[in-house]
Amino acid sequence: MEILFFLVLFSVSISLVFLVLFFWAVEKDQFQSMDAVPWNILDEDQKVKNVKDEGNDGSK
Amino acid sequence: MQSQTLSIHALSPFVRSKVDLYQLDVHLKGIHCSHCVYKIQKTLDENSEISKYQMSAGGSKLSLYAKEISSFSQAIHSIGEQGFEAIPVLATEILEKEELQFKSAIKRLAVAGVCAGNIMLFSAANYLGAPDLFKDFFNFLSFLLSLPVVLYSAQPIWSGFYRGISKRRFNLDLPIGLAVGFGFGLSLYSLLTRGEDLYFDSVSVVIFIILGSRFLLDNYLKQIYQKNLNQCVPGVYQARRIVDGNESLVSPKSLALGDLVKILKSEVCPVDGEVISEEAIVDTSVLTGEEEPQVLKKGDVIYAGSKLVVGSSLVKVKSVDNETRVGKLVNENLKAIKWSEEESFIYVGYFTLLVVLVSFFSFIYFSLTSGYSLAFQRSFAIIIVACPCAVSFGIPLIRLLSGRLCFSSSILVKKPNLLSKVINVKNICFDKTGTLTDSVVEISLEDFSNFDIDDQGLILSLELAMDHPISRGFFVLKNDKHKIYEVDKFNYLPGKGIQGYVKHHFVEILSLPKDSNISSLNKKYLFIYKDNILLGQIGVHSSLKKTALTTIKKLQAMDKSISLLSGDNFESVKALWAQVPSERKGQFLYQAAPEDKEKFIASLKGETMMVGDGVNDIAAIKKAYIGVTMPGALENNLDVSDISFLKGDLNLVEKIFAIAKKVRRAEVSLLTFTTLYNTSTILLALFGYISPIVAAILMPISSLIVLTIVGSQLRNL
Repeated sequence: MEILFFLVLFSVSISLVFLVLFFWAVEKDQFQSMDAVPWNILDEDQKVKNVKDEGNDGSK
Repeated sequence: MQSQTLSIHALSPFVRSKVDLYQLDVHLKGIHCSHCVYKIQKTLDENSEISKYQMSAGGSKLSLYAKEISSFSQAIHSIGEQGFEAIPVLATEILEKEELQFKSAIKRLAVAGVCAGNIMLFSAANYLGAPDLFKDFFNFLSFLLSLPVVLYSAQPIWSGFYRGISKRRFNLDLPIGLAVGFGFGLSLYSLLTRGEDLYFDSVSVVIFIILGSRFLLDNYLKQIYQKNLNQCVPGVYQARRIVDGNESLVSPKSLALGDLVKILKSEVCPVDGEVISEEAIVDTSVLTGEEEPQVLKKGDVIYAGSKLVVGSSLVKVKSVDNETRVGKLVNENLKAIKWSEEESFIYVGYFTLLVVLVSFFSFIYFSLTSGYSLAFQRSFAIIIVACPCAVSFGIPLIRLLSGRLCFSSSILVKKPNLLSKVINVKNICFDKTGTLTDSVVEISLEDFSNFDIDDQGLILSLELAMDHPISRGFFVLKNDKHKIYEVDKFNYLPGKGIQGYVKHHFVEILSLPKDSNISSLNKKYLFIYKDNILLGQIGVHSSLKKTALTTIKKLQAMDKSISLLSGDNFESVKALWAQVPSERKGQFLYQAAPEDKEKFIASLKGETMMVGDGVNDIAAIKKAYIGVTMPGALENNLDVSDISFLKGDLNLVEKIFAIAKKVRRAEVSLLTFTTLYNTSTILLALFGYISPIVAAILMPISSLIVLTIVGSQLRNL
């Protein structure tokens, strides 16, 4: 039965890990301007620009 | 917390200088519902030094305008006295503050959700008969998990609670904070003494549901508000961007300065920009009220909302979205949501007080008869279930949906609370020229051509100095050969004409000759004088709008008394007046100066609506209970009137009353439903049929039902 103590604490800690990940996502602006995402798909140049930017970052 | 009194020196870095006013943007803390917004607006309305103010839909941003910087200090102090915090911010900081507020709210909600969810699992295990060893362990874990909920997630509740206590002002957080604090304290005491009164689950779930419902309702309101803004350029959800000759459909928001956009016939320009094509013929009636299409040449500015009438055109982007002329305009006016003296908020105040009293006395009664545990459960459930959030949420929802309904009917309402007042209108006064008649008067080209080109220039210069249906008629006759001069000492003579000095000549354009009387309703003349010598006369013709008489008859059938106020001469007005049915017929005024119209409005018994256009109606429109302007320069109209028509269609007057009736019905349904719902749930909680957790679930359900009721009633006209 003692194993239950461990399992309960383990399950609580998993939810805390989720919470930490959620905080990280919030800080990385993952939930900002949710309605802009579908519009960005239409913006071909934006995609190209992003790819170019990534390329630039990599070459530094 | 002490209310702030900031010095001019401290405020100066945040103050921006406008044309004749100073502007200060502040970030507001402690706004939970529209009742809070109402309290702040009431405080600002009472402050005569604040010239005007604008508040965002969520209530977190407030822009103050005043003639003196010191006035801001007083206003911030008054807001502090009400239990809120106003923090001066730079314009760029506002977005950052809003983002931080959003992030903070979503994090608090997540912590409350995760912890409350785990606590509920432990509670369920305990209720289902967990062994004592596990029971103590689960209780201890519940306590640990409830700590971040009570200390971190519930921080907005504690802030409101503290503000309420320190300012001795009642707010919704006071009873909730009291119940949560008491519940947590009692549970902790029971945990330490191994008692049975453990409510970590109830306290955590209640906090989670309260925060969750506030968060969702707040964001829902913002979404609806955003939809209102998007409608300011109707039908524009995508733009045709041209890159290297290739066309692609993009969101107008994603366009940048200098991008090329193509507009096809019957499409609406999505941006403010410069015409690149040789010519673009556009309908600008949304902005200017001008029904005649405008011819724009290469290099001219085209505004968002203009509809292309012929062919296709290329436009170079100058500004997009809320930065466009129409975007800014609607943004400014729709953001100024003023709640004014709302009976419903008085209802909220009294109802909340009643709930607190019922809760308090039930706690005393059950403490004496059944012990603290039962007393806490009953009083806690009453406070949670009877929170009148549905009214606080429902009223702004009605305002926003009805505002949107109006906009889709080409009616722009400046103050959202006004629509419920429209139904009280007893008298309707119409201006004649431009309101009941067409907005452009036809000028006889044959008569005008009889004048030499220099005199034509003098006449046009004087006429174009003012915006009036007759001057719009003259504008059509203007061509490249005409020189337009500055007019000195311009004078408007109501019912008689206009005069002024043009190129050192004293020019008069009069509706009657100085020595005789010649005129009729549909055919009359303008008499042109230059240095007191009659140069000649020009025939003018104005037709009655097709819908004018049918609209008047329909309004009379609604028991509205109709009056006609005109600056025109007796014969013109009387001939029109004779066509108005005798039932519910008011009075008519002829040769009325702006002051006469204003006095007439003031003399009428009962609430009056004035429908007019042109400068001569401004005083009367301002004086009226409801002022309505026909299409004209939108910026000017919105400054003086409560309601602006974007189309010159008189049927819109009737439409306003139809919408107002719907708004009133939605308000009555809302208040009836919330009263019945809250009264029945209070009784159920009092007799123990509703536990605190069930109460927390029932509380947002009332808001959802309100959303359904209001939404279904205000969806379509």
